[in-house]
Amino acid sequence: VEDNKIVALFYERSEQAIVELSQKYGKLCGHIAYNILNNSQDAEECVNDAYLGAWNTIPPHKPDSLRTYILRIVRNIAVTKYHANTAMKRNSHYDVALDELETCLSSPLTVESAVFAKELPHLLDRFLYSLDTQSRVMFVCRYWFGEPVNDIAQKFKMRPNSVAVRLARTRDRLRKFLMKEGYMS
Amino acid sequence: MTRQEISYAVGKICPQHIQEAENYLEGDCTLHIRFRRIMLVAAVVACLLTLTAFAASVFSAWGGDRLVMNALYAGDGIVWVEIKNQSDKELQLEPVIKLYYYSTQELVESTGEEPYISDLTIPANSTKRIRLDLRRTYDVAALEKNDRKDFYCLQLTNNGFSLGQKWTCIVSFVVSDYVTPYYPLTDDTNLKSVLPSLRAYFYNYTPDVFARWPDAFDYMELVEAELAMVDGKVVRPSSPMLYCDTYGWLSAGFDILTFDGYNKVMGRDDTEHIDYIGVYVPTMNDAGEFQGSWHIPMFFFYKYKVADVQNKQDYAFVRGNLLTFAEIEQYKVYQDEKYVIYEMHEFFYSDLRSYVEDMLYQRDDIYFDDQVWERIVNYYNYFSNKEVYAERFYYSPEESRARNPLTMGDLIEISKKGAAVSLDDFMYYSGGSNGSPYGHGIGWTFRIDDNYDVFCSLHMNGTFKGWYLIHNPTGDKIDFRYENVEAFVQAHGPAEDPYLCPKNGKLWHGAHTNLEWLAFKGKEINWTDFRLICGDPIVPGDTTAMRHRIDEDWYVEVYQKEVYQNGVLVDMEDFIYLVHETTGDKCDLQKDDIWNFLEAHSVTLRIEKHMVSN
Repeated sequence: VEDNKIVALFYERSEQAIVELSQKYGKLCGHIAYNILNNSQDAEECVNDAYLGAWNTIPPHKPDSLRTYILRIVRNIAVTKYHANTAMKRNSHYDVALDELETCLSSPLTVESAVFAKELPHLLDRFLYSLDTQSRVMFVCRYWFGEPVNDIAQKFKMRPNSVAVRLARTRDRLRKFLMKEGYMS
Repeated sequence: MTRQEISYAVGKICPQHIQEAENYLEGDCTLHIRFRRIMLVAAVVACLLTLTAFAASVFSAWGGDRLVMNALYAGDGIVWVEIKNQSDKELQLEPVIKLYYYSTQELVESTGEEPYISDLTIPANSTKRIRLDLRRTYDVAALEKNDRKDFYCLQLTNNGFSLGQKWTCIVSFVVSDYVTPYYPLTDDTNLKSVLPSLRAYFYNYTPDVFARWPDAFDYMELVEAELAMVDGKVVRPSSPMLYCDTYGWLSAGFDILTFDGYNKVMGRDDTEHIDYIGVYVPTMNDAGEFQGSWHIPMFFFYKYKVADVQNKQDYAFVRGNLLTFAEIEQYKVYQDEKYVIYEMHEFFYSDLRSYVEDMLYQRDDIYFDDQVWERIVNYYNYFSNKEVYAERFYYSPEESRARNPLTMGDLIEISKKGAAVSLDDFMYYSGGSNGSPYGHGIGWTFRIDDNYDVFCSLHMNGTFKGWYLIHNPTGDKIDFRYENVEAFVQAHGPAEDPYLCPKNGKLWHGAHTNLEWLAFKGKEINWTDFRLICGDPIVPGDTTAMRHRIDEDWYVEVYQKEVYQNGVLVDMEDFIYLVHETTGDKCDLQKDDIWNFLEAHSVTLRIEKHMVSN
């Protein structure tokens, strides 16, 4: 079923919308949630919450891309759950990815942390625009989708080590970019 | 920075990147790599062939010459292309583009019409942003829908796609969620004189009127620290009701601001207000029709009390520059017994074209062509001459009242000159038919003959059109029904004024009419006969800042901000402050309190209805 038809079902307040959404993007949503949470039950719960989120926001919202819209909801819920559950064993793929970014961003800053946190999304956007497509996609796969390096390597038909090196170089570029922008010393 | 902050920050990146990754991963990733290699080989061969034939005559990409191109989709068929010409030769592009699918190289179906390209010349060693308007060339909805789930490649050339050199970049027609944009200055030459510790503030700018505040607060703290170390007196500017009359100039306006066109603080803090005059440029709606205008600040007036500037070694603080009054003497344009005024645009921009392009880059609904540019240049040349200001400053006749206590539908007398009644003595205010002040639009007068003018008013919400046929010597309104005015105007013929009617005899802004001016029989029209009656268009949904003076001591500031929940616009939130002119005290009052204050001061403001309706 095409996205616009699913959105139309949401607008009609038809519960079939959830069924169609689940059939089309359920697996993908589950995959992302699992990447972050490393727990099937939590991931499933998270995906169901995301469906409810979509149900509550469409209408009035009419997403241009239903897939991106639902994935963003899933990720937000999963990340919130991830941080809320302090007792969670930190061994998910996402945890490793976060470690990598934390190392990259944890140096002494020249600006207040709160200001930096507020500016970081815009800075990341600008940084991503400055990358070539392949590096940009790898970065998003790794740190937004929480994909393991091996999976990314498989997708790009590259060696995992090459992907890891590419990501490390990208993080290094990010670091230099932030230094140039005056956000890091 | 905590892990939580990091993960939330990453989560907020532009959806365009996420969609790109999804598309990429859905397809065969290696295809792009192979394709790129093939393209690389093909490009090398093409370069060799091209250079052999044309190296001497055209821009050369060989021998260190380089060109970098990026494209960003702004929505509504508008693509901004940033071209960095790193060679020492000027690049002259052709007014054609190619748009094709990345995977198949198949051309995207077009209407055959050429797109509008804002500029074709990229000077040596410079970066330029050009604006492509693809609306008449491609089905924009289809581009955005992207049924093939492929990438689009945009190609430009300097000498035809067969023989010339070509530059390609990927463009994604995805309209992203709102992300605060920051842009670098096109020309930062004038920043050299800015105090070193303050320079960083000016290098980037954002068109978002709310995002400017956090930057401004940091900047103001730095300024305070910097000025505390100054050995000498730094004089604050004053804001008397002393205005510059832009009479006789269509599309010129005068206003008072805290922030300049780059959204940078012009004074030492947000209690200092600087007067400016600027030029209006037309804006277009989604249908490609002219619908309003936008104001580009051009000339900036720093006004001081004469009593405060007796010592020429005292300092003025002008947009990050610390200058003695002896140094700025050359910029003086006016002085009377009470006030002295300096015009300081040289500290805001050094290259007019770059500055205007920076201003245009902030919005994607601006219409800009050679004619608009010519008018800006005329305007700039005229007001760059200091002598023109000698007779143009005047004190407001309504010092104790709000600046524009306007009544809907009325012509209001302003700054009447002598005994003669003329349309130029009036300004016009109108509201939408729903009573909302959002209907406030722009109005124009058209001289029909010695006896008659047509006044027409455009409205942003399209709910109201005001047309008046006005008897020039008396100012009487003869008829306000559009069809009658139209018939009268058609009987009297066209205006061939190049500034008003460049589009095949149609009204220049032509938003709601196809009125043709084919056989003008009346008085020959000079464009200085016209003036913009009122500006400051306000569109529902816009973030808006308005300022309304109440008396010499107080003014009201009104801000509106869009409130989003889960990416959905749910409310417009008002921020209203009562601000004291001298002390800068800001009272964050409730609407009712401000309303009581205004009533106590016997002031009727335009925001009245707005406040009530909310």
